[in-house]
Amino acid sequence: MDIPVAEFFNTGLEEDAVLTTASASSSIKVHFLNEYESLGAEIQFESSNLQVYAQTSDVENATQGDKLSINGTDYYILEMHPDGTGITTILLSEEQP
Amino acid sequence: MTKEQKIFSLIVAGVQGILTTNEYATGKNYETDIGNYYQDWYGLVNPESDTDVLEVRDVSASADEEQYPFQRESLEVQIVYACKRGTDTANQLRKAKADIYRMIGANLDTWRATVGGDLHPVQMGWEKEIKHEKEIFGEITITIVFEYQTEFWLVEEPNY
Repeated sequence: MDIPVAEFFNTGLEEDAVLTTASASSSIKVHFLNEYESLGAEIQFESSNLQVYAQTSDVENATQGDKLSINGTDYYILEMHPDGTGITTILLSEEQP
Repeated sequence: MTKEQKIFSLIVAGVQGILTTNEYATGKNYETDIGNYYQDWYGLVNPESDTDVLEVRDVSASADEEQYPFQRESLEVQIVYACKRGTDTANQLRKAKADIYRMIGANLDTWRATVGGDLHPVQMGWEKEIKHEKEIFGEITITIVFEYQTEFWLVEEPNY
């Protein structure tokens, strides 16, 4: 049975976020995806990968460099990967591109 | 100390001296304080809160025995500096590279006087990488191959 995408973003476990694009701001729900990876080549640093899931319909006007504020912290969109089922994986950076 | 030990410790002391308060030539100061971030090469993953790391690595060495009873030895040393300094990362790497080159140029005569006049940096190269992920991360590796002469077989040669 298919679960509607909207229900995935209404479980009580998602985070409130504010997406600010060039033309508007909107409140959306995201799920954090915490993945650890080390950063660097010769010298490595601990680093958690900053990724969130969002409904594609909520972020279809977003582009690289737009701001996503989550729990009072500002992040910037590095990459967006819509999966074709209504969910988009967004890679974030703490640094403004 | 063997010549290998001397070379490595001199380079470590050299990079630790890269501080804006130090002169590399009369009236000319280093541009960075990367010497403050020196750490021994453990191969550890640094904490996420660290912003700068500087390491010296003696990654390979070999001996050429064709000049019996002497042998030429070569020691490949990498000076590696990494930083996460936001939008200043690329600029900081350029300055760090310049300071490392300055340090080597300023110290080479002293190193030769300490290790022996047969010490020669025979090869030098570098590579740089900057990535924008969660943070902007940059790393520069400067590789120097030193050659020097030792007496064949003598590990504790008295003149060392």
